[in-house]
Amino acid sequence: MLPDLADIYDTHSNALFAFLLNFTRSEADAHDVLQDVFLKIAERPSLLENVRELRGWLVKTCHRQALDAIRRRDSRTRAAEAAAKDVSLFAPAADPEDVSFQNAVALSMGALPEEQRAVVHLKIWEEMTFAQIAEALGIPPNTVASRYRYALDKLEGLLRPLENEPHP
Amino acid sequence: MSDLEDKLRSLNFRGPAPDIRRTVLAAVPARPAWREWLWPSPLAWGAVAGIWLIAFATTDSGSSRHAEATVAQFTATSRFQQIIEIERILLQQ
Repeated sequence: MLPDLADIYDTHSNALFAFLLNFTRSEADAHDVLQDVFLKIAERPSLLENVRELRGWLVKTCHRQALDAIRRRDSRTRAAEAAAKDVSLFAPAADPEDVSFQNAVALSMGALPEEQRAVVHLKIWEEMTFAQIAEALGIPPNTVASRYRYALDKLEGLLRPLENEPHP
Repeated sequence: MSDLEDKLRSLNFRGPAPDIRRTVLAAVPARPAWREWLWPSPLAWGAVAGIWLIAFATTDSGSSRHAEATVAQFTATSRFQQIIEIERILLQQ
């Protein structure tokens, strides 16, 4: 028996939106893709009949649709958005130190290529294994592992100046 | 797990806009009334229906067996009467 769509949405939408927001760097695209994916399920619940691991399937579907959305974007718009990189990824924090760390992470994530960003997000925030990420993104596990290492090295380099800043 | 990975993991992402949920759930086609009635325990209701079907089939085949037995009994009685009749004729001769 298929679970209720409201339950599926409540269980997975936050994590999927976080992935889409981080991956597309566009709130509009993240909302559009999230809505499209769940509307497809609403219209054809049979899509889930043979799905063994729902979160993995949802991530895979969202990733595929997000790639299409990114490709559809006008290159001029993409360049402008990439230059701005001011997308708000995280829930508001009260502590100014947390806010500055959030901003630095958001900027640093924006500096990574899309494919590395996807891997980092799924590994860090979804806590998926390299094999699960490989399955979701349709790439070999070795590629996932190397992308993750490169991305983490780059993030460390970008975030190090913030750690060395003197705290008031 | 490095210190950086731990620090990154502690960050909480924003959630999606609430109207996405409303739009998605509004698109779910309404179930027919009979399914709404059945929905709380479809397995239990299915089992009850199955038991009824089995009971009906068993009762029906029981009647058939009874009818066959009656016919067989009737045939046996006729043969017995024939034998008696033949014996009676033979005795008269």
